[in-house]
Amino acid sequence: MKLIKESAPYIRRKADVKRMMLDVVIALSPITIFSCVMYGWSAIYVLLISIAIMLASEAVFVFLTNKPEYNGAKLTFKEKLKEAFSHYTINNFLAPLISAIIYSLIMPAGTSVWVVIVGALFGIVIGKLVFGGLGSNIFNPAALGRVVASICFELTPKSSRFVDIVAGGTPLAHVNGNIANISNYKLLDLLIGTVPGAMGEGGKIAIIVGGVYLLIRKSADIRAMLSTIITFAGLMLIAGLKVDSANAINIMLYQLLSGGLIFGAVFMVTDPVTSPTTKFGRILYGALVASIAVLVRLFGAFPEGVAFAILIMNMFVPVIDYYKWSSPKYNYKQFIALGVILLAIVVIILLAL
Amino acid sequence: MIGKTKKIEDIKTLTKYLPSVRYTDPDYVYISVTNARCATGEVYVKAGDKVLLGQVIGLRHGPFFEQPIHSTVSGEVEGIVKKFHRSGKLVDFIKIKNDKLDTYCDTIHERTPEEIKALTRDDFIKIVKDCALVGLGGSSFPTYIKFQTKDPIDTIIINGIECEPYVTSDYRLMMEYPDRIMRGIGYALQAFDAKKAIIAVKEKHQDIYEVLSAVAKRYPDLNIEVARVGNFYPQGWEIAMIKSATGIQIPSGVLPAKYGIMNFNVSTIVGLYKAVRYNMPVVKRNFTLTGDGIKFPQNFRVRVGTSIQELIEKCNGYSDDSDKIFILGGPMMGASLVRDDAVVSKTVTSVIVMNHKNWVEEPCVRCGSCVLSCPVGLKPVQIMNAYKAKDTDAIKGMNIKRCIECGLCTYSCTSKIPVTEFVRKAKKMV
Repeated sequence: MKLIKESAPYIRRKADVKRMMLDVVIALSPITIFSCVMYGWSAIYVLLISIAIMLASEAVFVFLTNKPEYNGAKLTFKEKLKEAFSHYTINNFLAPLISAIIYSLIMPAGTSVWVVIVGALFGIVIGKLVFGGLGSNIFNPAALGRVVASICFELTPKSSRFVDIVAGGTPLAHVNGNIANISNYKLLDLLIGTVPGAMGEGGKIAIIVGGVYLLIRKSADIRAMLSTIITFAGLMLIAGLKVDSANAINIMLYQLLSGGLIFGAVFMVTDPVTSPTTKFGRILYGALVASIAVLVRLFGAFPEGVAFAILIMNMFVPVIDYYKWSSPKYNYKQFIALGVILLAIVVIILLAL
Repeated sequence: MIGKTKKIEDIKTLTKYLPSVRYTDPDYVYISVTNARCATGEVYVKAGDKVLLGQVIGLRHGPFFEQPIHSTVSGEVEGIVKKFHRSGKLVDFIKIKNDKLDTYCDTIHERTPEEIKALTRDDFIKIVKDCALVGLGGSSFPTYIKFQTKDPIDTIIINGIECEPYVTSDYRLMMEYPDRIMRGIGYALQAFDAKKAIIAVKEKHQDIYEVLSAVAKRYPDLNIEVARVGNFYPQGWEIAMIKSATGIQIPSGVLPAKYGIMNFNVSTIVGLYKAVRYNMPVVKRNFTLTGDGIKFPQNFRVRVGTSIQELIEKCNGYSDDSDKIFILGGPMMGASLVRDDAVVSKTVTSVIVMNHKNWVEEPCVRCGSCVLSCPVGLKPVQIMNAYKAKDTDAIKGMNIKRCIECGLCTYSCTSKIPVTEFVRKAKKMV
């Protein structure tokens, strides 16, 4: 028997990163199954390719970063492999798995194989591994992959089993430039998900089921999730009132239920690694993601802006967390700052629309 | 998982309901020459000297106070040996062979109620100083300095919360000696001329509440209230306790006395009772020996200076041959030792022996649990990152002095990172 020197405290609570990531995988499963059923093979291959690429990249990363100590003798490849394998943990499997699932769900089904591969590689390698892997990344790998793919290639949504693509494309393409043009799709269709778009954006009910599971398991922060959705709804309502006050509520619901807003709020804004650590920081982060998404949708050339908004805000996380102003407890100054920012965005919306 | 950790898995049930076993006559006792607060000390006796119980056998020198060292048994001095102190350091101990007669030194005498009634604040200060009474909850802060406060005190709060998991020595003390607690409170009320006293106990400890309420009725002239406060950790931290018991929020860095509040641990108040009534220093205390590394966890009433090795033998030794962690104090804030030849000093509440677990440390995913859990409103994860980057400006800018080292950041960490250790190192850096 040996007495071991440790530092206080000597006990830990029963919670770990593994469990948190497993919860995200479980929460993603309803929407994944939904899109696989809806799009069939054209969704499944996107999913499988993304998973294969991201897991393989992570495995290569583990191999390259865990070299055995040099002891004079030349090591065989097998020995190096063995050493690397001993450092391969469940985190090296679950984290890229989550990124891959999220990435494929925000891509349109039936995207060409090469586009999927380029986006996935860019997302995981430039978005995560060059920073040092799990916990060190600045950008959300899935959002980065998606944005690179959509800038470099033309992504066209595919007709699914239940819906033919209407001339003009996705629900958001119809309202790009004129948010009052909401007659092409019914709100109920948007809620159920029988509309064209990225393969995981459709089934809002499946996403919400996943989100509720995450919140029950406390594996996601409710503050970021709700602040994104509420700010988005509020700003869109104001925009709707300006454009067509009689239909403002419908315009707001149409915007809320189309595109990747709900999916982003549930699965991407809540990603702990790329979000701030304080309570208010998370509220601010969510609110700003929503604001930028609103601005991109209203005034940008792209019909969809959630992935852009998340990437832009990822860059601001260190600023939000900066020790001179971030405080772990709520105080009135923070809310005044948030109010001023939101007011400025409202003014921009009202003047520019 | 991502969220505030307030409650800690309570493992008091291992020993909570076991009555204290009296082990007050060890063959040898060991009295430390220095302690965590007093870096130097002198010894007045040499090997072969006969000493009496309560006799002053040395003097410890602290930064702003001096503290007499008392013998806790009568017998013969055998010399100086090296043993582990509660602070985790190897220090000199005076070894005394117990003659088991308990012959009192002539300074120990019983004061009559009339004599006690006539005592003034200055008399109390002198008694407490002569008896070397310190904060027995673990702080070991000299009690007489608390008595010297110039601020008017109207409420005395007795801390019976014992928020560390596993430890049950104060719990047993309150169950077994409620009468001494009440009398001690009576003396404290008299000394400070305070209006009322509040005993703070955990809400879930219904039994202590019943015992203390029933005994408090015997002292109708003392205004004693038993307050049941929350079950969370660190409820025993004085600022959290005062907030729960009285509703007063004391800002960090301000003494509670400024708000008319004086707080003592239950063990300290029993020490005060002994000091005032019999002029006796602390010679016995309640002690818990527990954890899954001990065969039969047990509460003890022990002589101060008893070797812990003897007590472990009384518990039938260690549970098995696997690696253990040996903790003096509680599992959240105690010190771990690499050898078990430690001694029960006045301020040691417990020893916990746990089977060693290898926590697998994962990368920080910035879940924010430590930030949400921190009771003093720090951002442990950022302090850790600033420490790793050797960014002293950032560490200074984050109010690190407020940290009470409660250990919640490590406890709540989803990645099993020893955050508290980084914060502790960062604290030393500025």
